[in-house]
Amino acid sequence: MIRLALRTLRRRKGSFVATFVAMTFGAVIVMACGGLMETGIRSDVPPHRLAGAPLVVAGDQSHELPRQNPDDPEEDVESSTLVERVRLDAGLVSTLADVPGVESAVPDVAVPVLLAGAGPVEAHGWASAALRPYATTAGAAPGRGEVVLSDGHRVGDRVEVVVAGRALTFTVSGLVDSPEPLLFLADTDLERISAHPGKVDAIGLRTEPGADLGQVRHEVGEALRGTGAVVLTGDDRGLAEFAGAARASEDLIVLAGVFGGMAISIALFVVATTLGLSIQQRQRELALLRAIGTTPRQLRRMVLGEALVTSLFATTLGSFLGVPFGQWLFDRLAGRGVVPEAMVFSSGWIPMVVAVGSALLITLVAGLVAGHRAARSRPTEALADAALQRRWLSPVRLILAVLCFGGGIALFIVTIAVMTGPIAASTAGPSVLLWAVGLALVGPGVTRVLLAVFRGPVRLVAGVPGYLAALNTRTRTVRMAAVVVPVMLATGTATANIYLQTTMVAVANEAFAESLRADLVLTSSTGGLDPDLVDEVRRVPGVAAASEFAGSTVFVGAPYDDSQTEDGWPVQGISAEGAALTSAVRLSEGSLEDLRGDTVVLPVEQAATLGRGVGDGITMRMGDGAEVDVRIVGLYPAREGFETLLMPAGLVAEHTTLGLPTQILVRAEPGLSPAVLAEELGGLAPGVAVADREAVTAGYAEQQEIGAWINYLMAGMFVAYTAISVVNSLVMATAARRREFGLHRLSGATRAQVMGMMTVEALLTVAIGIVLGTLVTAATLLPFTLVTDGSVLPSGPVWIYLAVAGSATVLALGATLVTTWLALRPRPAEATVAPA
Amino acid sequence: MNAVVRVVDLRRTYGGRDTGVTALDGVTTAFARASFTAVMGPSGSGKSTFLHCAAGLDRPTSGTVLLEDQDLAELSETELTRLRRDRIGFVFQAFNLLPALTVQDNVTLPLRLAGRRPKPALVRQVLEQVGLAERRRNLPAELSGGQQQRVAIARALVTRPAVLFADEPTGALDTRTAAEVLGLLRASVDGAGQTVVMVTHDPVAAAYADRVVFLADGRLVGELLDPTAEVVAERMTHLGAWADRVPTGARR
Repeated sequence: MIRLALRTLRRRKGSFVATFVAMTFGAVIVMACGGLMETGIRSDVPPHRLAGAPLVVAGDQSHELPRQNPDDPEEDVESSTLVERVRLDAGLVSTLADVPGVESAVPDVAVPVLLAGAGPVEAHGWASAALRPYATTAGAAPGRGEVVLSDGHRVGDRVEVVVAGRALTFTVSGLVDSPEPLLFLADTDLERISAHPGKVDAIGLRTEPGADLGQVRHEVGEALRGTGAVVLTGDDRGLAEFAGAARASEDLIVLAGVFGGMAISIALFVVATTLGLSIQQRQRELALLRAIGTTPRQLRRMVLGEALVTSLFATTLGSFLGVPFGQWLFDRLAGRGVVPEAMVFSSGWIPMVVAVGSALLITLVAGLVAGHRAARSRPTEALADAALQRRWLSPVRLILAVLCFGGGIALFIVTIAVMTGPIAASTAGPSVLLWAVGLALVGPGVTRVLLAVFRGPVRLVAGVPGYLAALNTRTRTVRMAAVVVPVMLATGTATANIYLQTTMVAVANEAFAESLRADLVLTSSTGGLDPDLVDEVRRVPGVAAASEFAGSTVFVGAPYDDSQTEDGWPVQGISAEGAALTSAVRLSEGSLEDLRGDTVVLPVEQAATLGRGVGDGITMRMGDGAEVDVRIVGLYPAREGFETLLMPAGLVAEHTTLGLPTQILVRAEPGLSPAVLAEELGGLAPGVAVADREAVTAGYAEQQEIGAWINYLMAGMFVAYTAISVVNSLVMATAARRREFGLHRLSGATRAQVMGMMTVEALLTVAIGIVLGTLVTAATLLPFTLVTDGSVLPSGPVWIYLAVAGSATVLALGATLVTTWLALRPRPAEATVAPA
Repeated sequence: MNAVVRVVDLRRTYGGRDTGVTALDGVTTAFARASFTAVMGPSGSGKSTFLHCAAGLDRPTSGTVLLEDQDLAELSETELTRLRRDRIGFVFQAFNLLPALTVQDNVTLPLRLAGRRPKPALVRQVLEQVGLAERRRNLPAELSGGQQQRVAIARALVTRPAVLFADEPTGALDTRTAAEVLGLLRASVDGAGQTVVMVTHDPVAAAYADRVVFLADGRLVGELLDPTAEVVAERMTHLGAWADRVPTGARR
């Protein structure tokens, strides 16, 4: 039977190509997502500076979230990744040096500095140069007050190095060869400028010649027991070198999972649609086969077998294309700083197996559905003229549709009732699919209703072609619905996803602007600011108030925090002096003045969840995993979805990778122009930039766009995919009507009239698709916008909607008219006798 | 009578109880082995429905169809399909052949569907019988309409069916090619003892049969043995007039 199916394939090149392209595309997207996921799971970050150390010891970036009931062995342990570098005790270096098989243990500390004339670089201790190893190409090792550089200076030059806004002068003692700019100081000098004296970032271990690496690793692991440090080997060593890589790989896994899942469901839909259409096209052939003795089972097997064979080829092609496409996506992500550039994209056999497996599974499901439909074809249809499908709704469809709508309504209610702030967006993805699939299932009925609405005006406006189109659409509603559905899906997913993003960005920008009350913000090009700088700023005339700022992510260690997720809580470190004037937070209880030492200000809701109030103590796990007992000194009503903890800037900064506050927020005296003050503040320290409110909010918005960009990209990818399905369905549906066009011509219709008729039909189809797509978008976005900003309409430019609707129209018109024009080329009499 | 096909009180209605249309209204007849029967009647007389029901392509609303004493109503859809494949041959008015398959592949399709390997000798013999042995590697599109119908007859005969049903097999052909096709059917009856039941509205075509049964408004209204075209035409004219006088909704 499959042989038979394959032989008939050459007569159905069009639909074959459509199915093939849909399957290939699906496999490519799934595989690319699989590759991103594998990359995230492997998180291969080859070491650069530490390449010469076979073993690298670093702090464990993952930690377990507290459990509600620590005695309950059944309760799941959730683990999370700390955002700040977990540092090691310098004392560990000598312990590790004593481990058998270890030749030397070398500490590594990175201090971000600004090299005058070269920009930000990392400074390291000269001892760590041995870990690559770097050798001086000129000059000698740095002594006190000396520096070894990687680029264009000469030995003996004096260079200015800015550390945390303080300029220091060093003499170049030697040069090294390095692809990326580097700076080595004497270890004692480095210790002096480090924000974390007594701590090291990582420890590189060189093993004795001939030592068994596995054995040494085991011994080191034993020696590290209880210290919270981990041993890294191979391509994991880079995790110690590039802070944030662990967090990024986790984000990558989530991203790949979400989009991979969406890709699979959309692929299932697209493949099922194309297969279904090709079955419809072959109705007469299938009926003939039935009449001459093909059993329903044989037909099912034939359709399924053909689909699977097609899928096999398509998937093989797709899995070849999937790797470069995944790499391309990954490079885009790396280019935007979403993942560290040092991370290596790896897409091995697992994504391939997943892609091939899911593609085959998708085909199997779609093929079973299509085969079921094929097997139902009645033998007598072979005798009748082109059979018109009249089935509006099967019981199975109805049940599934009710389930989908039920799910959609449930999500709607859940979002409005339970969700707060930006998390409300998390229901949007499944919601789009549920509404779209639900509408697709009842497509014919809905199409009929909308047709009835549109038909009158169309007849009035469009003359003879309109009259013909109205008649056609009346008798061909079921087939028309098959084309309406992809249009709906494309416009629905596009508008819903894009407006979701624009609304989220707008809400976040608004919240940020609201929270920022400073007139000026000081930042450093090295990232950190000297802790003494804030006092200098305060002494500048015209400064009404100044507060340090440091951001991080913290976790509540105890008591158990029911509202805590694995993402932890964002924390803002601010100074008690000046906070009242620079922070937008208004406490409902307690005072910001008390935010000194180990203290915290909590959102009211969170305090209630914890069962604690002002004056009570809680245990916080800081960004670097350190546990600190803090006292609650105030509560404030937080904007939903933007709950942030407040702590003293010094406390937060101490537990960040940088170790320093990142901003100083300044409020000018009333009546003083911020611009004038900005000039004055700019001269305070080297490498310090002063920005006004507008610049800061614009900078924040830009950052938001980077995050949103991924979602735009993915949404765009799916829209392109559904666009293929739109074109497929239109081309197939139109090409199948050659005979009909021929008959129209024979009955006296001119080519222009037939084209006009098809234009009206295509416009009707698109209009209905867009109406339904808008419905899907509305059902998805309404709960979200109601929750986040209380409005009915999403935030975002109207042109996006118009552009989506416009592209859908252009696409549909193009596909229909080109196909119609091609179908109209033969003489009408030929067209009517050619097999339909 | 040695009947291959026997239909008893056959009824077939389409649609619901109120708006339904009665296509067959209690037809009882039988077709003897090695006989050639033409089923005639004006448009809407139910002759196509009758053929579909008798051939197991459609299921009657009530009544019995016996093929070699097997009650078709007792069979499941799959069993019915197998029976059609093995015991019944079909020739339709048009669209008989799969356009992608060669003449030979089209002819052997029923055997392949049954999982049997077609014997080359048998295939050659059947193709020779319809006079298309030389065209066996051609695609249907490369054949004339008459040739295509002969391929369809070859396909119908290849399984050595108990009965061959033909639905207006010459409806789309000119007089001369129609004569070839009808001659072929006649020859299969005379030469190989094939049983043939043919629906037609053409008195000339009906004259090739041994017997003509007339349907009007879903009922059997007459029979004619050893027909000639003139007599059949004469009867049809009356039938038409008779049908026009009866104001019923019995139109398909």
